[in-house]
This record gives sequence, structure tokens and C-alpha cells, in this order.
Amino acid sequence: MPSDVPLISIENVTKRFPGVVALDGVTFDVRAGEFHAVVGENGAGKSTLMKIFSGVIPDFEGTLRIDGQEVRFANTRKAEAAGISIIHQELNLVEDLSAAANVFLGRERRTALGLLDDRAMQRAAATLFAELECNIRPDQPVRRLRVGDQQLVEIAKALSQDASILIMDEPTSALTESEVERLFRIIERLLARGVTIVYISHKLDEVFRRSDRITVLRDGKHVRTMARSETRPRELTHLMVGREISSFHHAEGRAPGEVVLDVKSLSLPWTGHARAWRLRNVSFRLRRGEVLGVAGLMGAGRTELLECLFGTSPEPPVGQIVLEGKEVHFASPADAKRAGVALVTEDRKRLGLFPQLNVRENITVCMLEEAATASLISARKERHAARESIALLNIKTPGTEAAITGLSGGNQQKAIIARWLRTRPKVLLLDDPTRGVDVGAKAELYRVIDRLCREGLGIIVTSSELPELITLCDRILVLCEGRLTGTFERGEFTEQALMEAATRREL
Amino acid sequence: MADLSAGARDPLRFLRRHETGLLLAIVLVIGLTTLLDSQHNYWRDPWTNGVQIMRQTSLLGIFAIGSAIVIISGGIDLSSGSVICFSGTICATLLLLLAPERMRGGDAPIDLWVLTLAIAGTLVVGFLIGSLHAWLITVVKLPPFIATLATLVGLRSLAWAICENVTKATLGGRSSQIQIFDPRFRYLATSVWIPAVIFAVLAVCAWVMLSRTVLGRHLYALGGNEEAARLSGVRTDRLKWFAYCFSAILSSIAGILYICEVSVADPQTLGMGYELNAIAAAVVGGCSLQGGLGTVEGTVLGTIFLRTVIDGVAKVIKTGSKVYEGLIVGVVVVFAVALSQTGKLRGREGFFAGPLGLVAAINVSLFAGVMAVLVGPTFVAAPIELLNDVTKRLIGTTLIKGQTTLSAPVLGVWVACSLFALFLLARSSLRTRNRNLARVILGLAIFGVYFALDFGLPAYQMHRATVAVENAGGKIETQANGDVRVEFAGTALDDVTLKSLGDSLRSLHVAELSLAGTNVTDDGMDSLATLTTLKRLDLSRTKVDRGGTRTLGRALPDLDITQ
Repeated sequence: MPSDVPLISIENVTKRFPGVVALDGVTFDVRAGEFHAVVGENGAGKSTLMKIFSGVIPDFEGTLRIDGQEVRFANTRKAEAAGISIIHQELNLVEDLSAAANVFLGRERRTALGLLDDRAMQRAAATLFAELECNIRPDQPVRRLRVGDQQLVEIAKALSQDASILIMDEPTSALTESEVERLFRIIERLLARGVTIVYISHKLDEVFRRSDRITVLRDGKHVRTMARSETRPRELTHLMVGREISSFHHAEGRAPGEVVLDVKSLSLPWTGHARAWRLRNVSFRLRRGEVLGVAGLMGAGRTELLECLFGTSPEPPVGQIVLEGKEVHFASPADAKRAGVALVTEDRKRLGLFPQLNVRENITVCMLEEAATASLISARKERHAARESIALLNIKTPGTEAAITGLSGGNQQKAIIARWLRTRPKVLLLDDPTRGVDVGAKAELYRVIDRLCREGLGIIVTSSELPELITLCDRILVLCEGRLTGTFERGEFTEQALMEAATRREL
Repeated sequence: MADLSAGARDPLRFLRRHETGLLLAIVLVIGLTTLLDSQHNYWRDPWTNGVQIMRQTSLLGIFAIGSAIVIISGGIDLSSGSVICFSGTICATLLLLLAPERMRGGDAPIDLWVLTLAIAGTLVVGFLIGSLHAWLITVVKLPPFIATLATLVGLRSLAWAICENVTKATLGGRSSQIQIFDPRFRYLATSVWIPAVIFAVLAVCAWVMLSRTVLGRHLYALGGNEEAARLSGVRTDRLKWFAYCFSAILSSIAGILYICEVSVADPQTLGMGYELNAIAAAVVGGCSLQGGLGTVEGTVLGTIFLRTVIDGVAKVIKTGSKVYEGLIVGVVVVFAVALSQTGKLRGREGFFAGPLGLVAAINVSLFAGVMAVLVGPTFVAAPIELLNDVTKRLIGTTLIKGQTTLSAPVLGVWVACSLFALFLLARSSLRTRNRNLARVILGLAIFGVYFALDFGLPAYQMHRATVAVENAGGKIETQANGDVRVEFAGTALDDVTLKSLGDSLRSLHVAELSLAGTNVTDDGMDSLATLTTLKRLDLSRTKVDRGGTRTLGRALPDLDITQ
């Protein structure tokens, strides 16, 4: 049961980065044993605050007290020693080490001789994974795991430290619905054990599900801390974004045109794997001016399907892909780009952004040719193109020359979509486009997708959040273990029906 | 958001650029060298020195640009030294095969078409090597480090084998090198303009390519995030092909210029270790080995900086630039890269904290000590001479002795101990006020020890020498003109004792020595040969004969001997 004693108190904490005030005099407290949600749009300062808690950022103004003691963690080890564990939004795993080695990284178990005790670590990791109700093999390298499972490894790592304070930074952003259920069961168990949980999220349904108190941050400032019973989701959204968000069905009144993409019994082999096929006999059609959703659990083959359509699948696919009446075989993304297919990838940081290039260069990278004469880039034309794209998608940036890494997640995503729109694609593939994007930016992305669709683009979008697909799509395909287990027209789809199809093993 | 835009339009951004810092560093190095060099070569003869540095810079710069482009694209080219060697050898081999009679010697020029063909052939070889790298990396999927490491070791030995076989076939005798007698090659060896112009043209081309073309932008994208570049429809494999070919062809051009310089193609030594200098120049110039960062102008400045530092140190300590070249490159790379990422270092507890810090403190102190032993006395001499020069002109007299009297080992130990003490202070957990006090005390102590050693050590030696001489029955007196006179006249001094006194007499700076009536013989004269301050020697009533004095006279020609 949460007490009234403040376990963590934050007083007047300010953190400045060159050019930005990430936190501006934030003051609130977290009580022992409570589930405390911290909400706010991306860029509100949630992640910075958590980095201060966990010792990632050692220098800041103001005071931080744990149990009444003023503390200032010089590094993450010191924070861990004080019983604070953090699960970062951007995963911090060594991809080539096994899952067990990652769980015990820095606190390796040793035998009497001082050698690594892999057996004990794998056993302990297996116990933790069992506790998390997942079947990750402890000896498997993390690289081979999907994002969702990698996050579970992070959670297992935090659990293994017996932390008294657990900070979760957007833990569900890569999880499927069933994994979220599982996570909340675990959270319930941890709360029963007396662990204090600080839960950072912008998913209001999760926040309202369990939290004791909710703190709202906006633009680096503390807006309000309140008990869950005192507020409603609508009010919370209002506090977060400073305005009301209208939730409407985007798909109303769209009129899909002729077929632009026809996929006929597409299969993707999986050499050396028990399942043998990543995708098996998937057939569907995409029309001009239509948004086609692809739903499915982790590992169902959503990303693989898009990869096949973009010529970047791990192995060559089998079957037919017909684009505008012509059969195509893409050997590389360059071929796909030329044919008019565009892919906005799922993992923005790893597969999308060029961190060393600025906003302009990130936007024009796909279609530099349009700004160049005889391969020589015209700076004026390029800047013009970048400005046009920024205006078109309403990207919030200080200018064309700003660092792309300084933009919020939603605006980075828009810049990547803008990059692809410059290629004037016929088919736009969006792989979980709202992952790690806040509520306000999400709504704006939905509007952008809707507008592009109405302009005649054929769009395929995947998502781990079913409500998102339901508001956005004209039709939804459901994949389960690489097979197409259901196709739903608008009006037919409910979360219930989609979930049933996504978990239908045999067909 | 408003704050961000202010950061983006920073009026002082120019000053914060890596290139500006390098430019200032180059000016500083040239200035310091001019001042510290006791012969002031840069001041007296800027033309010759400028030309010399420009020549070295151009040769290194040509292939450093190639290395930089590979590094920017996210790879690494370790092979440039071997490619220089291989293409130089191929160029000489082609000349030998196409015009064997002209290559046997004599001043007859080689036909122009032969020269053109040989150079063209060499460039084609460069293209082929670059393509081999690209194939190994993109198709065989070797890491760039491994692929170019293989050619680094492989090509040199292939060049040697080719050289031996071709010389046997054409000249009749196996040779591990090919001489080139053509006068045009000789001209190239002394000309600075040809390498400089080639370098300038290549640098401008590379600069336009990297900063103004689609290709260049895609290279940055490839280096910054390879997967994202591929998924953006950039043909990454072709880009890599281009980058490695560009690097190899530039190395080939450098290879031709290097064989001109020495008029011989010697596969065993040509271009040995040059790849690391090229990578160092690129890294000093701001290229990141992670890829995606770096510029041509930075690399050019990095090359100039490296060459001016090497030349400057050679000028100041007056040894051949080759001896310390590697050491300088190593130190410069560490400092340049460490300084350019000061942002990352902020927030650290200090450079010498913890057990690793302790060992690092020992490391750095030892290194400084060894350097003091190696170059210390001359290096200390340079600023002292400069100071004396200035004071002589201003007030007509020198303030301090022109040289430190400390011997190199003592100086080395002093430097190492002082530095180590400073590091220990930096590690200590004293509070600010105490720390400042400790700094002052330690500083005074270090200088105190220096002056104590500088004055005390000679005084102590003098004392020991006096005691030793007096124990042997000698009398020491200082005469009115300051000369030291040592009198052994009438004592039973023999050869063995005289030999043991050799060092003592030297420490006393003895000017006049009387051995009249002692037991010394010819054998003892050797121990006197090292007394460079000796002016008069009295050997009357001893067993020393003409033979002994003759050897002594040869060693000390100004010596006045009484017999």
C-alpha cells in the first residue's frame, strides 16, 4: 500500500543543454510503494528527469532527495547502489552477448575460482524470464531477438538488481497487447513486494489503468501532480498538450481507386529455422488512395512483409509482386525507390536517421538528384526543397540547418516521411510510424497519412497498437506466424476480432 | 525551440570549427619553431624551408585525402603504404619492360609514349587494387580492416617478387630494386611544383566532390548510418567501390612521385608505414573513424600540421626528421583528437584518478623523463639561448649561464619526479584552498630542487674531487686569474692512483698540473688525455719519455709540457 512518506523528492530541478532548457524548476515527490505515472509529450523533459534519477546526467541545478537524503549520482552504478533501476526507452543492450550475459552485465556471477559462472547466470536468467512469462532462451544473443523481447531482457536486468525504485521509460512502446498485459501483471507483483514504480508514458490507457498518482510535465515545466481518481483522460490530454485533441475517424469518405500493388502468394523462406517460412502464401491488393493496415503480434511477420515489398528482405522472397500491372523483383531498396515504393522503417534511430547530417540533408538524401545539375548540388535548390517539405508536413525545427538529433521523435519521423515523399512514391510503406511518438504528434501524423491517402497514394501501415490501425485504416490484414489469418473491411474491425485473428495459430 | 535557433545561428561558429583551430595551431607551431630554433632557419631562409615542407606535405597529402574519403564513408584503408610501393614498382617495371635499353643507365631520355603508358598503367593498377578491396568488402563481406590489412602485407611482397623476376628477365641479374636514370624523373625529384600542383588539384576536386555533389553527400550518409543509407535507396556497394578506388588511385599517384624522389623503386622500403601517417593526418584533420565526419580542408590542414610539427621538432633538436617522426605523429594524434573532443571529457573526475590513473601518471612521467634524457639538454638550451639573445640586446649582458650543467640522466630523473609529484597532487583529495597552497609549495620545491641540483651537484663533485686529490697527497690552489693549479710535486704518486684520479681532476677543471718528481710513467699519460681544460703540465724528474708526451700532445695539442 502506498504511504504518504515521500521516497523521492525533486526540488527545483533545472537542467540546461546548449540551446535548450530541458527541465525548468521541476518540483514534485514520489511516495514509497506507489505507482507514479509521469506523463507529457515528447520533449516535455520526462526522459531528462529520469536520466538525472539514474545518474546518466550527473550535473543539474536543484536538489534530489531519496529517503530524505540529498543525493547526486555521479554515474549509473551509484544510482543502482541506492536501489534505483531504470529501463530506458532506447534499449541499452550489448547485442552480441547472450540474453543472460546482458542481464548480469557488470554484476557477473563467478565460480569459486573467479571464473565466469555461465551456468548459474543462465539458470537465474531463465528464472527471471519465466517470471516475465516469456520464452527467451538465456544463451541466445540479443541481436537475434526482436525489439519486444529485447525490452523484456532489459526488464529482467532491472528485476535482477532487486531495485527498490524501478523507473520505466516508455516500456510498452515496442510491446504487443499481450506483452503489455504480461508487463502489468509483473508490475502488480512488484508493487505487492513494495517496489516503488515511476512509470513514464504518453499512453493514457496504461496510465489510467493502475497508477496511484499522475504527474504532468509540459515543455520542461511541472504542470500538476494529482491522484488518478481526481482526473479524466480528456483533462490529462489537455494538460499535456495545452489543447484538446479531437479523436475522429480518419477513414470517412475516402474513395480508393484502381489497384496499385498486387501481391500474389508471397512467401519468404527462413533458412535454418524450425518454422522454415517467415511469410507463407500472403496475398492481398492495395488500391490508390487506400490505407491498408497490417496487424499482428511480435514476430508475426509485419516488418518482413514490408521488407519484401521494398527489396530488403533477408532472403529473396518467393511469389509475385505486381506494381501497376508490371511484375517487379527488387534486388535492393534503390530498385524499389526507382519503381516508386517508399519505406519508413520501424527503428528510426538505427535504420532511419543520419545523426551527423542536419535536417535539410536528412530530408533531401533520397532525392538529391532533383536539386542537382550534372551531379553538382545547388545549395539554393536543396534548401528550397527542404523548406517545402518542412512546410508540407509542418515539421517543427529551428531551421533547415538544425541538427536532426535536436528534434523530437515525432518531428524526426515527419522528416523521414518527408524524405520519402520527395521521391513521389506510388506506394508508401510505414512500419510502426508512431513508435516513440507523443500524443499530439501522433494525431498530426494521422492527419498527414490521411491527407497523403486522399491525394491518391497507396499506403500500407503496420502498428503494434490496434486502436491506431482502427482509426487510420480502410482495411486491415492480420498476420499470425507468417500467415494471413484475416482481412477486415472498415466497419468489420473491432479490437476483439483483430486479436482473435492475430492469435489464431492453425488455419 | 526559440533557444535552439539562436544556437544554430552562432556568429562565432567559425571560430569553433575544427579547421580554424588547426590553422591557428599551424601558425603557432611555425612561430615557435622560428623562435626556438637556435639557427632560426625559418627566419633566415623561409623559401627553402617552405618548399621543403610543401613538398613533404604534398606527397603525404595526396594519399591522405584518399584515406580521409574512405574514413568518411565509414571504412578504413590500411593499404596505402603498400599500394604506393606496389604502384611505384609497377611503374618502374613497365618502364623496364617497354624501354629496357634506356633503363640500363645513361642520360638518354625515355620516349614520351613509354612514360605515358607506364603512368597510365600504374593508375589502372591503382583502380584494380581499389576494386579488389571493394569486392572483398562488399561481396566477400570481409571487414574493411581485414581486407586492406591483407593487401597491406600481400602487395609489398608481390611487388618484391615482380621486381626480382623482371630484373632477371630484362637486365640479366636478380635485383631487389629498379634504378631509374631518366632526366625527367630526376627533374621531378627536385621540383616542388609538380607534386604541389597535383596535390592542389586533387584536393580541390575532392573538396567539390564531398561538399557539392550527390556522390559526396551519399558518402557522408553511408559513413553516418550505413543501414539507413541503404534503406534510403543509396547504392552503398557502388559508393564503397568508388571510395576504395579513389584511395588506391591517389596512392598510386603518390607512388609514382615517390619513385621519382629517390630515382629508384625499392619494394622493401618504399612507402613503408605511410598508411598510418595518412590515417593520422585524416584523424588530426577531424575525420572520425566511426565515419560520417570529416572534410577535405580539415585533412589538408591536418597534413600541413603534421609536417610542420615534424619539421619543427627536427629543427629545434637538430636531428634528422626521420628519427622522431613516428613519435611525433603518435603524440600529435593523441593530443589533436583529445583536444577536439573536449566536450566528451567534461564531467570526468580527472585524468589521473583511480588505479589506471596512477599507472598513467607513472607512464607519462617516465615518458617525459626519457624524452628529457634524449633531447632534454638541447631542448632546454634553445629557450635559454633565446632569452640570452634578447637580454644581450636589451641590457647588454646575459642573466643565466648558456647551458644547464645537469647531465642528461639527472635532468631526466628530475623531470620524471617533478611531473609525478604534480600528478599525485592532481589525484589528491585536498580542498580548493589547501590545493592552491600545495600547488605553490610544490612549484617552489620543484624549482628549488632544480637549482639545488644545478648548483649543488657540481659543488658536491668538486668537494669529492678535492678530498680525493688531497688524500693522494696533492695540493689544490686557485690562482689570481681563476685557473686551478694542482701540485703533486715530490709525492709518491704512481700510474694506478693517477688513473683513479682522472674523474676528480676533470671535475676540478684543472688548468695546471705538476707531476714533478712522482713515479708516473708513460702508462699514466692516457688518463690525462681527457682533461680538456689542462693548459700546462710539469713532467720534470719523471720516467715519462718522448713517446708518452707525443700521445698526450696528439690528444691535447694546446698543452704546454715541461720535461
